Amino acid sequence: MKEIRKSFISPLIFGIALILQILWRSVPHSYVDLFNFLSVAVILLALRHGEGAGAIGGSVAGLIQDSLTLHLFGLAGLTKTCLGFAVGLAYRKLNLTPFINQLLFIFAAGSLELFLWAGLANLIFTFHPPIESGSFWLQPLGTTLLSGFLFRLIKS
Amino acid sequence: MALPSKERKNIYLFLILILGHLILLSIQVPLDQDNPLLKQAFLAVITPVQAGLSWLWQGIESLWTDYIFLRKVKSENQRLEAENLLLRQENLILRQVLERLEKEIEIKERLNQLTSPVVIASVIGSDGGNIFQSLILNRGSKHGIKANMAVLDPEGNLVGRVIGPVLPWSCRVQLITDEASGTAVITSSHGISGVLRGDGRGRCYLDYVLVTSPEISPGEEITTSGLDGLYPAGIRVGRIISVSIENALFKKVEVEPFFQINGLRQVAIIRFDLSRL
Repeated sequence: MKEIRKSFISPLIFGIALILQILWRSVPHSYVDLFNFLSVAVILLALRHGEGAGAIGGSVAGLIQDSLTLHLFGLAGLTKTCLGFAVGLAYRKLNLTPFINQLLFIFAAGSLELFLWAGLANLIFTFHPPIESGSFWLQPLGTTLLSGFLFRLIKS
Repeated sequence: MALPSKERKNIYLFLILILGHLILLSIQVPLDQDNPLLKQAFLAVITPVQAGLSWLWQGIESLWTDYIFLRKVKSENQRLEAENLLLRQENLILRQVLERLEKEIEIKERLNQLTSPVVIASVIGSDGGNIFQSLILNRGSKHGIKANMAVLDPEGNLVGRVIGPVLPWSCRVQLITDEASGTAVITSSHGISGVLRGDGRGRCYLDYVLVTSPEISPGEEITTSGLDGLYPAGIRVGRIISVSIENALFKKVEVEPFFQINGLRQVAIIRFDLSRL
C-alpha cells in the first residue's frame, strides 16, 4: 500500500505543478515570471527518481510550456530536459545531502536553465525573452526555494 | 572505466531526447511556417484544462466579490439599465436614419452583418515565454472565431488579432507588442502612415516613417489605418512617446500601446469585417 502511495507522488506533483502553472499564468500580471512550477516539478522528479526520469519529465514539461508560447516549440523542452538530467545526475554523484548544498545546486541548475533558454531564444531564434522584467531574473530563486522546501517535505 | 548499464541507458535516453528537441526546433526554421502538429496536439489538450481551471478560479473569485459588493450591485444595475435604455434608443434612431439614407435591401444585408458582431472572451492564459507576445482566449471556432479577427480590450483599444490554429473552444491572440506583428497605422494630427511593430517588451515602434515626413510629436495618438486589410480603420492603438532619427532615411518613433496587458481578463473579438461597412 505504501509502495502504491509512493508511486503516485510523482504524477501528483506533476499534475499539481501543471494546475499551478496554468492558474499562475491565467491572467497576465507583473510577477508572472517569478515562479515556473513546471521547473519545480522537473527538479523534484529528478531528485526522487534520477536523471532518466528527470530527462523524460523535463521533455514533457518543456513541451507543455512550449505549446503555450507563440513562436518556438521545443526550446523549453530542450532546456528542461537538460535541467532534469543534470539535477538527477548531480544528486546521485555529488554529496548533496546537506540542505544548503541542495539549495545551492538547485539554484545553479535553475539559473543555468534560464540562461540557456534566454540565450538560445535571443541569439539563435532572435525572439526576446522578458529580460527587462525583474521577476524574470528572480525565477531561479523562486524555483530553488519552492523545490528545496517541497523536496524536504516529501522526504520527511 | 565502463559505465553501469543503467547509467549508460540514461545517457542514451538523454541524448535521444535532446536530438528529438533539436530536430523539432530545426523543422520550424524559418519561423513563419505553420504550427507543428505536435504543438497543436499539446495545445488542444492543455487549453480545455486551462479553460476549466480559469472558469473555476473566476467562479470562486466572483462568488467572493458578489458577496462583498452585493449592496453596490443594485445601484449599478439600475444605472446600467438606464444606460441600456439610452443605447437602445440611440440604436433605434441610428437605424432609422441609416434606413432613410440607403437602399432597403442593402441596409438589411448590412444590419444582418451587425447581428452579434462582437464576441466577449475571457483570457485563460498568457504566453508561456513572454507575456507581451500572445494570449489564449476561451472562444474558438465553435463561437464563429476565425483567424485574423481583431481583438479589442474593454475600452475599445486594439490588443491584437486571432491567429491560427483556431481550436473549437479556444484561440490564440497575437498581441501588437509581439515582435513578429505588424499593424498598419496612421497618426491622428498629420495623418502619417506607417507600420507598427512590437518590441516584445511591451512597447511598439512605428516603422517606415521618413525623415522628410512632417513633424511628429510625442503625445500624438495613433489609430489603425485599415491599409493592411487586417484591422478596420479607426481603432485606437497607442500614443507616441518619443521621436528620434534612426538613420539617414527613417525616424525612430516609439509608441506606448493603450491596452494594458497586466490584469487583462476580458476582451472583445470583432467577428465581422468593419472595413466593408
